[in-house]
Amino acid sequence: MEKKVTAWIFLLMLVPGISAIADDIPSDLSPFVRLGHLVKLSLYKNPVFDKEHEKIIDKGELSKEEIFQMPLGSGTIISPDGMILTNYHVFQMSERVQFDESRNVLLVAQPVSQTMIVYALQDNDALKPPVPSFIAVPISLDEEHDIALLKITGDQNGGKLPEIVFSHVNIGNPFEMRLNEIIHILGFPAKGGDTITITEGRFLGYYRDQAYFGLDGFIKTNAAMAPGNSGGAAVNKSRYVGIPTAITHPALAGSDLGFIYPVTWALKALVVAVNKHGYSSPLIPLSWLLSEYNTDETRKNAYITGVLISANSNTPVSATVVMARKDRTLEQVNSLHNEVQTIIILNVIQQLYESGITKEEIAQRFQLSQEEVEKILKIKLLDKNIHQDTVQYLNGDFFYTMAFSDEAGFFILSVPRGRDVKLYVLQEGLNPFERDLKIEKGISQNMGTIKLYYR
Amino acid sequence: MREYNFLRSGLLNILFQICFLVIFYIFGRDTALDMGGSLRSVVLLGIILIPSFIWALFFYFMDRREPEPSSHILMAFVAGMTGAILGSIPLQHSLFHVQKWLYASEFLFVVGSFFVISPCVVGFLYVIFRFGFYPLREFDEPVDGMVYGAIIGGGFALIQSLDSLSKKPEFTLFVIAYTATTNILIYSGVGSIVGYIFGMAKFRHKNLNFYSLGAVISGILILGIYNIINEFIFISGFGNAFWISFVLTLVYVSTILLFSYYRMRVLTKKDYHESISVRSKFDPLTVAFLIICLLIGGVFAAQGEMGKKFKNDDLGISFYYPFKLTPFSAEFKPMTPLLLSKKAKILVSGKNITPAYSFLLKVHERSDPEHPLQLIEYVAVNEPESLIFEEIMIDGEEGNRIYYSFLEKRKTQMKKFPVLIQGVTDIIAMAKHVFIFQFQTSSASFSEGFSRYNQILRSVRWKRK
Repeated sequence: MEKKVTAWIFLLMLVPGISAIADDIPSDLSPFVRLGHLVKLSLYKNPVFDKEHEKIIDKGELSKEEIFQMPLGSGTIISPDGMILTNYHVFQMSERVQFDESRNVLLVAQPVSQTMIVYALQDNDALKPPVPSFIAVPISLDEEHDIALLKITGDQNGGKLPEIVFSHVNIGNPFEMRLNEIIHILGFPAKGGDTITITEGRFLGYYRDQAYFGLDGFIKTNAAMAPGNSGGAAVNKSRYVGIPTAITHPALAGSDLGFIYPVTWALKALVVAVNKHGYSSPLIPLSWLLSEYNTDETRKNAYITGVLISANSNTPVSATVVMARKDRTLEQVNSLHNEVQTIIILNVIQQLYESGITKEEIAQRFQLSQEEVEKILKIKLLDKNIHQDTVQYLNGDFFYTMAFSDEAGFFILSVPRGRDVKLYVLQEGLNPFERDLKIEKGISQNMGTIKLYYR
Repeated sequence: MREYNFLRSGLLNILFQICFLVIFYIFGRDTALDMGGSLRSVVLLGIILIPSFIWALFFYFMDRREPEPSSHILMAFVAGMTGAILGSIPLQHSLFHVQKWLYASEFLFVVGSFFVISPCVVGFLYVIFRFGFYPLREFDEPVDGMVYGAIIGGGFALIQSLDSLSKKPEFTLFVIAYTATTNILIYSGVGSIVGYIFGMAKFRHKNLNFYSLGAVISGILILGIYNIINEFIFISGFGNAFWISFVLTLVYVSTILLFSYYRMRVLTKKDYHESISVRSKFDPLTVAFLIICLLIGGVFAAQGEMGKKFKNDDLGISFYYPFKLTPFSAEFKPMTPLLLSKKAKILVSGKNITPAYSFLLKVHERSDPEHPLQLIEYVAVNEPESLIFEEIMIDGEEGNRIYYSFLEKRKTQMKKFPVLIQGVTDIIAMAKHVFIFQFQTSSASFSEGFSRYNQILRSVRWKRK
């Protein structure tokens, strides 16, 4: 008996990558990757700023340029064909500018391309830094939910990959965790160096604030997180339940809290990948979305996708796709559209003015005369001036949406389940297309290929 | 024997037409005939001619007991082509401008089919048949009418197919084959009906005036009904609309031909053929009927071309604007930020795609009629590249016109180059309201768009108290 126990301990010690990991995180850590961009760094001497140093007027004299790989955040492989889920802000690296006052030089870093570099663990060894192994391209980007879905398309040099089945993490229901359950955060925070950092904390509930909706629906945790964890994984019972995205500001009093997007927020990106691009990726069960803790629109709404092709040429066509309540005519929807657009522009102009933009700048940006800007700023929106449908729409009670179909098809958001709606496809020269729809259940409905005929 | 020939060759014709389409479906459903220049025209013509050839063979077998002279058959085909090139197609497009209004509404499509499209086709079929082939000595048995009519229809079909396919290089081989097949079936079918009725008139020695009227009415009804059913198939969103349409055409035409043939058999029971000499003469009833049809069609065409009517009695204005002035524009420019102001209201706005321009009419309340108008206030551009003022007159009311242009930075593929936008704002100040008509387009589309804009202005009517 004693010999047997010794043998087991010996065997476990042979596998350091596994023996070191807690029980409720996956034994295979290779799906947890680091993501970066190929970045061009430019060094300018003697830059010129405005008086307050807020605005670069002239970057100065370019003295040096180089290209290097810059890790920017974390990501997680979620499907055998190499789909990576991360944050949009990790993918969308903005130009980074740094002024070194002592040397009077300006450093400007900007990504060279949209392709991301995927740093993966070698031999599942969590104690070694990941190395650039693949490249990935964006498949669907959801700026609103801060989600980016990437697909591995080649090796680190962009070369063709052999048939690989990628190790991936299974998605878990973020709405069935019990309060105080353990959550692990896996990622590559900069302060943790180049190796993977796994921290542990508790599930502290979902953020709710009646006064501030900005964080509504986030998962709260006390697990340690830092810049670089963005786009990584929050794991509960070996299941990928969320995407670490934000932390409380250090200036706020009290201990730090971390905020995690429920993985269901990636639904739009996943639906686009599957329905529009035909990739395989895990889909989120409807029962998860219907949870009372889900505050996202996906609880009540579904997505519609489809592809428009010309039956005469068998090629995709660009067209306007309008979806609206069935009990309104296209003309009524059009009036609504015009009025809503006007109100949006009106609001934008008024808000810009309130935020300090001058009337002259507004006039120039919107191609208006000064007098018209003056008049716009005086307009007060009153319900009696607006059509009832528009009021309902602005209150979120009237369904109408518009999308444009391109080569990859169309994607319509927020179609309410259980409502009678109508889809219109409009393009000059082609026969109009309309179809009644009612989505009783389901996350999305793929309308497949819609053939349009030339007149 | 004759019946056996008809049925056998008819069945073979249908089989060959189906085979022709199936072959092009299998090998050409994803292939476009997009090679350039004259080679495309030659190949296109070759494909379109195949179903015509199959159809001609059918009539050759049907009529082989006493075949018509080849020169007459060729002449009938060429006459059909000529009727389409010089008559039917120019009439539809240049006089009635069907391309501008036919698809604007279901109502216009129905009246356009019955009063413009079908009379234009059948009218020329009638003219060619009545004055070209009906008097021929070789038209010596009832079936000859069907043969000549079908061949004339074949010539029509060839030109109709070329007309609709020549400007569409992206169309697949299958769609080309479908167009050619269905056109030859329906036009030859209509032609053979017209010929059958003329055959009855000739060999029953009936009153030709009534019979030619019957031939024209039958042709118009058959073609009109077919066009409407076919259009219904394509707007219904069926996935296999081409095949459904093809089957419809086959069934429709076969039914008509079988009906005509068995009716004709009664006439030819005696198995006679005789030479009847007739003179080409004027059929007043038929001509009057065709003229009435085209006049009615002209009224609807004029209405269709004028577009949709806008009328507001409170403001005292009515005018017509294009049906195609569709909204849902991708980019929204706040040309009219005063929509929600009590003093200003948009009456009509939208974009036309071809030619590309935007049109808008808004009305402002006028608080002080004595106060002079500040015209520049109505140009929604603060830095125009050019600005010209002139006086205008819209339906007897004097007003001011501002021509202007400005550079617009657009988010297009060529985003580095601003686009020169040209605009016209017409201001008509009435006692209580100021009407602002606005037209904007890129410089490339200005002349065509501006003529459409002027068309709108010409239709403006003020309700004067």
